[in-house]
Amino acid sequence: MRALCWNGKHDVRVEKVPDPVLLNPRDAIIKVTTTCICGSDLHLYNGMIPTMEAGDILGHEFMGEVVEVGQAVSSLKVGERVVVPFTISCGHCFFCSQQLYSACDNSNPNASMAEGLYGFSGAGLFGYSHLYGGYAGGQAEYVRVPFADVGPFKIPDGISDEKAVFMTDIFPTGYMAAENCAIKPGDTVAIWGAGPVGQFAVRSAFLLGAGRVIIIDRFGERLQMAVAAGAEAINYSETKDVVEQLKELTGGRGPDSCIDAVGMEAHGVTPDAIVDRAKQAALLATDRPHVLRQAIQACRKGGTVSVPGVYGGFLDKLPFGAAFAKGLTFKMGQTHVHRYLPRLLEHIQNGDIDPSFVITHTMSLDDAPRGYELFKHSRERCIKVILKP
Amino acid sequence: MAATERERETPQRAERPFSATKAAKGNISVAERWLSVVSGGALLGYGARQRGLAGAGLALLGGALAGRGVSARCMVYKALGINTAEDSTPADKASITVQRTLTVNITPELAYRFWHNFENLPTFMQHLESVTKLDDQRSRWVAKAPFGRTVQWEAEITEDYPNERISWRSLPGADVPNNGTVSFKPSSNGFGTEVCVELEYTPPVGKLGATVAKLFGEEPQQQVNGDLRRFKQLVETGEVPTTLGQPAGSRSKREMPSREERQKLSLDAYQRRMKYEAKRNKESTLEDVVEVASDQSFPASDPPGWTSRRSFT
Repeated sequence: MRALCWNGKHDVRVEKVPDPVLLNPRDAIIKVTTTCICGSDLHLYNGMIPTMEAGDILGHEFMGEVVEVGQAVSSLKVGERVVVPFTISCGHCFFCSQQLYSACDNSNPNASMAEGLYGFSGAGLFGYSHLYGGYAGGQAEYVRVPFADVGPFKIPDGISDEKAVFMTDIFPTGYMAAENCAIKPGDTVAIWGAGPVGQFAVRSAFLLGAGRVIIIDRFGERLQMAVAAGAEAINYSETKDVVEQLKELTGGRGPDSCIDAVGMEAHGVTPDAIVDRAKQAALLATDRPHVLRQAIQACRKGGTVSVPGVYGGFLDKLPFGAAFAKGLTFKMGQTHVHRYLPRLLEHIQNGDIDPSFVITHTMSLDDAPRGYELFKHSRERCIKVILKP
Repeated sequence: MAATERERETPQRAERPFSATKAAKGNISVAERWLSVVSGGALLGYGARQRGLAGAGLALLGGALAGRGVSARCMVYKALGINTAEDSTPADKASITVQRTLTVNITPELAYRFWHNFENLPTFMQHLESVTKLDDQRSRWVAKAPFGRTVQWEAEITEDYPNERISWRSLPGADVPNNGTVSFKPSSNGFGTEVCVELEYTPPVGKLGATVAKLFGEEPQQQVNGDLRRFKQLVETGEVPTTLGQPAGSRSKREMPSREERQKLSLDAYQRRMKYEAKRNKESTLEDVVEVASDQSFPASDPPGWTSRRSFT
């Protein structure tokens, strides 16, 4: 089969590789019909995530048709169309039973590696480095899906791939980010990052009862897409002080909650962002928490900072004193995708949201390297690339 | 008289350049120090004769090796927490104790029953090749050792408190004297069982053996951690997660089964699919699911936990 393989920083290639086979009784093989490039894939593309090896197959947002099931899977039939959550969850450990699916104890074969770094290992992920299990990903023609009686979620006929595929990752991620804000009806939510996750966070915040959503980014087309859903835009490359402007916009109190949908590769124009970049280049820092700093400073007292943006290492110069003084709540983590799927499918079926709005580019799997380039540099007004193998 | 006694003492001490007192302050054993000095000196001489950066590098490395041999102190060892000087006498066989606790989603009764049948242990303890029950108290254990060898011993159960604790110890004559205890305690929040494994053993080459094992990623504590994790994965999910045999790009250095093995895997998978399709065409009931699951489950008499239908609400 053909698959997109990581071969180094800024080096991804579509190669001919062997087809996957069942390795465990609870596996299934999915034939991929649609897959996407995620913002987190850009961290891999930029060489920011350790434990990547040449030849690793990327891709954690995919859906398709079941072509083979393991001996111990009875909930799936060959031929069914499913979306597959990007987190691999066993369904029966303490965390899965608490619906904390991305914290699964049992799905990471390299758990000892992750334990060394983080103290505990979370769930394995598709196509996201050996620290998270080294599973072959879904930017390919076929994927082997472990614990297929827990993950794959059936999509009824009548809902196109373009509407359903984002249930694998970015729609639940944006939704969980908004849910973590504990939005009370009429609240104001500020969202940094108008990429695909930010876009879904905007719409999810409104679905959950927010009164106002303020989006912060520098790309016109992204801000426009968010404004189309009812958000108010701040372009930070044109604004003198984002935190001050947020204060003004919210009557001097600050937004009730803030979502950091940017993560460790934050870009900024203020002195702290420049220092972050310099430190990173000199290997003195791992992550750039520019957005997190702003979110902490902007959030109203007693508010919530919700972090779906990916962080990997350590943060420097975080205003934790300000966070303490204001009594902020922090909620974060990898998405517990399985928890949200029935709810999100309902929203799609009711017509509350059509997730295909976020697609700007559709290309074949063979053009994926170009897709990565476009997405990384936001060229051609690129916001989300989907691939058809 | 005292002066001559002292004189007689000092030449003896001076004769042995690596005295025991000096070794006591450092972290390298005497034998290893000699090895360092000789190999370091040879490397230094060789490197000095070579031209260019490679030669300078070799000379530097040789100098460092010789230096650590003379001074009895190694910075790398210090960073890794290794001290071979304690192992300077062959008679010194220090024993090693490792312990690990993990909470597992089964009842203490099930956990106890599973462990009590020692023949189950090799399914999740990677270093064990086999355990054979000899009678109610005794069993024969065969374990893998470095360089493709095996070590074996007979063990007897010394403590057996149902659903609470099992202790065992190797009988005299064992290649690797060892004893262990596994205890089961209901978890404090009522979810599952805390399984605690303690192992004490005397490796054949003393502390140095364990040190080498540590460097090559098979350190005893890591092994116990891995074994317990595999136990948890097996009883909670029915399988151990793996990626061995999955596809990868051409530049991957990962181990892949041979083409024949992969074809066989594919053929097995095809046959399983045909069997599954045939079965699916009949009415599928919960009993069928449990029957299929029980083929893969431990202990064989009970259905595995994962057959419960979980609804996502």
